Parts: sequence; structure tokens; C-alpha cells
Amino acid sequence: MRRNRRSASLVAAVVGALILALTQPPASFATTAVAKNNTLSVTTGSLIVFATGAQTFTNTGVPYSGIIGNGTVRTFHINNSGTLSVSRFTLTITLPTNSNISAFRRCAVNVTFTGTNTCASGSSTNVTQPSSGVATVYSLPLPANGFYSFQIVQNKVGTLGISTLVSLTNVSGAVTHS
Amino acid sequence: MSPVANVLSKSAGSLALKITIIAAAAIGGAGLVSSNVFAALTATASNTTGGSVTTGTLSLTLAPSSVSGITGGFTTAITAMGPGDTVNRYIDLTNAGTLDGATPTLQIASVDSNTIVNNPTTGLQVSISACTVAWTNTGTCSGTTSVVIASTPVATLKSSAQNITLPTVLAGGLNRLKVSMVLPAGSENTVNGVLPVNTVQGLTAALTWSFTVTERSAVTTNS
Repeated sequence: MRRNRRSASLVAAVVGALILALTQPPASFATTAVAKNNTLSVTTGSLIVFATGAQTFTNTGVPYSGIIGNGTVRTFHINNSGTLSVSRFTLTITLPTNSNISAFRRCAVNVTFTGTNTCASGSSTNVTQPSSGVATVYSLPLPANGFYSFQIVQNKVGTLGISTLVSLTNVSGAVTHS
Repeated sequence: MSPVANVLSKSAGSLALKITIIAAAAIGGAGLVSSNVFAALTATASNTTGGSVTTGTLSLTLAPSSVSGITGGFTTAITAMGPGDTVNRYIDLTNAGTLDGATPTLQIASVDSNTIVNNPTTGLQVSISACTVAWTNTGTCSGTTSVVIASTPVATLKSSAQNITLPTVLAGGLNRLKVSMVLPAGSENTVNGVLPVNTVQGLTAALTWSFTVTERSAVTTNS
């Protein structure tokens, strides 16, 4: 009997609470207005600089390595397949042991060598000769989708290695209004 | 059952039936009488015209500047943004409703998850300023400028709505905003064409900008 009374009280309490909940006025809330755009796409640029024998914008992702002969001209390219321009780049060129460089030159930006010391347009320019295995900075503006064509002549037979490094610190920021 | 008991039982049943009939008649009669008793005369006074109640509206609209040369707004994509770059976009934010607003906020949503929107240091930074007159297409203000929000990482604006200070949230109020997006200068190195891990380069993020105002405080008027 006592258990039945308790059950009845419990049911009454639940029903009472339910009635109270259902009959309460809705909680107040503030009206808000939102203005939103669809989407604004923001894409960051990139610096993708690498060395190759023949000119290409297909990134190899590895240092360049090629055979080099005594007194023969070797042509290679420094390519930027990215979307940012950079004011300078660093090359670390490794040469055969005891190699002495007799010529190191380049054509203008985006101009290839078509023969020994012959550029497709304009004339070649001598550049700072590197020490083998030592990183050398070349202060040459390399635009997005741009390249430089180099020729090197030295006096040993062996392997020519070229590693590249570019830094965002050498990318100039710009302010645009659009 | 004996004959005597049978007679007594029938008498009792007849009596109960009589009582039931009398009670029903009494209740019915009372009902009929009471419906007549509570009828009363009524008088009504009502207005003839007017009395219209119109609710206000709260509406915020976003549009690119109409000034030639700076109409990109939040729709024209930003491409090849480099570290150190600042891209300014010009927006007209209007309270087009009839109610004043309050507590304006800005939040940015993005379905993308990369350094642009997640990294508070190397990711995109946003600041907004307002001009009392239209911005020129070189980003100058010939009126008075005010700071709507100081430089804040998109990562922060993505995680929660941030309070902003608009020149006006009044009904019909127009805010001419210059939204500056800055990619902080970086020091990443690319070696042999390989971008560093967690690079900020070569990424894309779609940003949805949400400006929000709430209704001004409710008021009681006596008029």
C-alpha cells in the first residue's frame, strides 16, 4: 500500500513538472542580423626554385647532378616554377676535386644559351665563380615562372652537382587595393 | 426468496428509480434557470481607425565598394599572396533594417584547415578600419578614420566571434570599411624546389565573413 502511494506521488510530481514546463512562456532571446559573403578565396604564392640540365618548369625536387668534362661547356638552368618572385637565390655547386673554373656566365632572365657563350637574345654576362661545395648567393631577380641559363667551364672530369636555396626573406611584400 | 422478501425488494427498487428521476429533473431545471440568470447587458468601446502595430526589422547587408578600382569586395579571389603582402578590400556594411543594432561582431568561417586559417603567427591577419566618407581607390580616406578591429589572426576570428567597433549600428547606418588582409613576412627556405613542412606557401583557404549585430535593448515607451 505504502509503495503504491509513493508511486502515485512520483507520477503526480512528474506530471506536474511536465505541465509547468509546457505552460511556461518561451525564454526571451535577442534578434540578430548577420551579413555574410559567399566565400573569399585566398591563395598564397610559392617559391619553387630548382636546378636542371635542360630548362623546364617541372619540379625535380632534388639537386641537379650531371657529368662534366675537362674544358667542355656545361649548361644548366635555375628555374622558378612558383608564383612568387625572389630577389636572390643561393647555389651550392660541387665540382670534381681540384677543379679550376675558367668560365661561369649566364644569359638574361628567361633567355637560354643556344651555343657556347651564345644567348638566344642579347649577350652573356660573367657571374661570380663559386668555390666547390660553398654556398654562394646570386643577387639576381628571379620572377615567377622564370629561369636563368648558366654555362660553366672547368678543367676536370667528374660530376657537377647543383643545389638551390631560396628564402621568403627575399620576397618583397606589396600593398594592393582591389 | 420468500414472497415477503420479494415484495420488499421490488419496493426498494422502485424507490431508487423515483429518486434518480427526481434528481435528474432537478439538475436539468437548475441548468435551464441558471443560463437565463447569467445573461447580462454588455457595452464595447473601440477605436475606428489606426491602432496599427508594426514590428521593426533588423537587417545587415554587405556589399563591395562601388568606387571604381576597388570593387573586389569579398568575392574576387586573392591569388599568389606572398609573405609581407597586404591586400585591401573595401566593403559597405549597412544596417538596412528599422531597428538599431548593438554589439557588432565579426567571425570568419572556413572549410579549409591549413596554415592560412589555423596558424595565428604565420597565417593570415585581418584588420579593419572605417572612413566617414567613401575610400578612394588608393586606400585613402578624406574624412575621419576609426579602427573597427585591430590586427587579428584569422585563426582567432575562426575560433570565435570577435567584438568590433562600427561607427554606426543605427537603422539605416552605413559603414565604409577597409578590410586589410596581411600575410606576415616569412623566413621559410625552399631547398631544391621542396617547400618546408607546414609551409604557408601554395595554400588556398575559402573565407566566409560574418558580420553580426543584435537588436538594441528593448525599450518601454509611454505615448
